[in-house]
Amino acid sequence: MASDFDLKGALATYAKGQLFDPYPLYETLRLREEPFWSDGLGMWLIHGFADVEEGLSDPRLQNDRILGYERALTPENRVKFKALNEHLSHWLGFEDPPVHTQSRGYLKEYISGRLAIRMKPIIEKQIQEILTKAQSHSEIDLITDFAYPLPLAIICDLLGIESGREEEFKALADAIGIYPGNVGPILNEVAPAAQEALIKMEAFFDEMVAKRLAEPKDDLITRLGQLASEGLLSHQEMVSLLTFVFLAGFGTTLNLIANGMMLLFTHPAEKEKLIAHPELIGSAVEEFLRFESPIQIVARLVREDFEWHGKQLRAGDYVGLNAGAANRDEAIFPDANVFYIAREPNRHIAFGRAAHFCLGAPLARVEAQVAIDQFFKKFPRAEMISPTPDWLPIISFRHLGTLRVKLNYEN
Amino acid sequence: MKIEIDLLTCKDFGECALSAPKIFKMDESGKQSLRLNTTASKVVFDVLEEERNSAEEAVIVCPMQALAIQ
Ligand code: HEM
Repeated sequence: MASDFDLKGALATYAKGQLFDPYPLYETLRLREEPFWSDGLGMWLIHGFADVEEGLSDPRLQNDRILGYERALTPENRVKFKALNEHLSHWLGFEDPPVHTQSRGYLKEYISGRLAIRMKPIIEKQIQEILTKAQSHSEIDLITDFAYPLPLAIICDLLGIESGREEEFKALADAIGIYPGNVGPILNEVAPAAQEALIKMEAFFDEMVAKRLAEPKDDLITRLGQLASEGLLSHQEMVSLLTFVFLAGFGTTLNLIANGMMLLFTHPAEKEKLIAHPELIGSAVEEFLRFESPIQIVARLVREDFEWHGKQLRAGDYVGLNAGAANRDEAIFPDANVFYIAREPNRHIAFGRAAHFCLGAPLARVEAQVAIDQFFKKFPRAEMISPTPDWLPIISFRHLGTLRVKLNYEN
Repeated sequence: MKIEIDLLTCKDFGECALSAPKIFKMDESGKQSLRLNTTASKVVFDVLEEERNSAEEAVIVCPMQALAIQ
């Protein structure tokens, strides 16, 4: 099979975001050349588990990728959109030690394993509302009607967004998120709208923080607002961290729930196994994370010239550590391309590793476990209608557009 | 209940000591204190059942995924 694989064709399709089953390409590249320089993407790609894990711990690869954004802007735009690049520079995912260690410490006090345990009853209540709403329809779209509302409600609850203003906040965060979500010259075109949203976001948080300082609550806006008022965080850092937590925790969790549902519907025997043995939900969620990792590529920038497996990496080069590919590495996972909900052990790398290891992992796990467990308890006979997975053309994320199901609900 | 820690994988981030302070400690130089008593790469030890919740929390927050409950 490997011999008649059309590598050139697959790479061209991949660079356009149109390779909807990227796993054969990942495997071919992993076995052939590591790191692999992609002209189409303008970055070094890493696919093997050991190398991705090593890359995530290597201080010569930095999270600060602001240089990459500045490089893509025209000199005039570099001045005009300075505030936007500064905003981005305070995102936890763009910081390096020692600043990163301090900011992460501020978030860690709140976004902890304990938070996930504390939020479980809220998650259970939310999911019951979502399922009750669904039951009056014979068909639903699992993306918009199931995978979307839960993480939105939970992340807004955690932050402390006033109820009724979730969509307004999300629209602003998404508009800002478009900017870091792109690379190359197109950044000049997306920057104006992102900067405009950033100005509105600052006003939005200023209003909320003022309210919370007057009347504190147990949420992240109160916490970071207090740190800012004590002078421990700048106003800019506070706005950046709050925006970042939303963007790090919403779409990723949506995709975990959606991808998990898709995997169960396309592997009916595994779905029946889960329905018969609901106690497998914990290991099932780990297998969703491994098999269709919501974040495929974790990006880094080369800090200093160095040689890796005989390839010369230059300071300023982009490196894409492909967690989605690493999670299919046969060297670590026997029958890596087999989806198996009882897989044990399963030390996947979907939440990253080392200093930037996902702070929201416990929360995301609980959300997915509760949502999917409760869905099949209520709708055990649901059937998928969408014929093939509708992957969106995005290389860095595994993100489905729609997933229609017939609920076959029996009272 | 038993906990297994892989001291080769562990990179002394100290998250376990925050989640489960009765089970894990960091020494004065910021290293996992279990390193003091052993040169083995894997250590398995008994933990009181009443510490299960914090042990489970430590397992899921470990940035290196170096912990497991047996
Ligand atoms: C299935 C859902 C999720 C996945 C797959 C995921 C994945 C990841 C990955 C791979 C990283 C590492 C990025 C890097 O190394 O540069 C990360 C970081 C992070 N995640 Fe998540 N995440 C998820 C859910 C969440 C949730 C729900 C939250 C918040 C409540 C969250 C908050 C964060 C934060 C704050 C960071 C930055 C940590 C740092 O840079 O120190 N994530 N996530």
